[in-house]
Amino acid sequence: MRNRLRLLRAERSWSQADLAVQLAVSRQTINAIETGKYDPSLPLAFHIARLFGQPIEAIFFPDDEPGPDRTTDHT
Amino acid sequence: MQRVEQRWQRALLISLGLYTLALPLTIMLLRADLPTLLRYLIAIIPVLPIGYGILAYTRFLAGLDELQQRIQLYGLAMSVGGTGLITISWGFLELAGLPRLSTLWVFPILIWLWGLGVMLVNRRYQ
Repeated sequence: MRNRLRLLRAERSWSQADLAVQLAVSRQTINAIETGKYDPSLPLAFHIARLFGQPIEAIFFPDDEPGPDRTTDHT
Repeated sequence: MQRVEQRWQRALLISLGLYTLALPLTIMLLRADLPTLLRYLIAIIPVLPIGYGILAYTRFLAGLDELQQRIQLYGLAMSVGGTGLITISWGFLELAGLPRLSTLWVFPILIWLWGLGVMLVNRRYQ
């Protein structure tokens, strides 16, 4: 899975440590999610979505999908 | 450092400290001529701080987040697999003439491989 976590965090000027505290996880977990090395569990994904006020699908998307910031229209 | 890690490190130090005290005490007491049952009870005194350490570790594990728990459990899996391989291999090699391995070595091997396993799995998520 890919995600927009780093972008959403940067928009709020939060460090990884700040985000980790708000989600009650370690900074290592935040870094692993942002770099795509770890996919969060469903409860954690919902927690992240609630924190940023967006649906899960707007934050996490499969590797083979373009995601909300990319278009598939190549015309 | 997270509070759960601080608690674990404190408990680990206490466990190691008590073990360090218990071991020579046990060896000294077992030199005396004592009834068999008492000798057995004295012999397992060093196990008590180890049991405390294991209990502290399970509390530590419960306090970790999902990724940290995954790292610890992968490390434990590698440790159990590695210890099993080493000890059963040694068992067969004893049939071929190697000296007998005391079961006292099983736990230290398990701990060392757990530490190695956690270190290796941790690197995957750096």
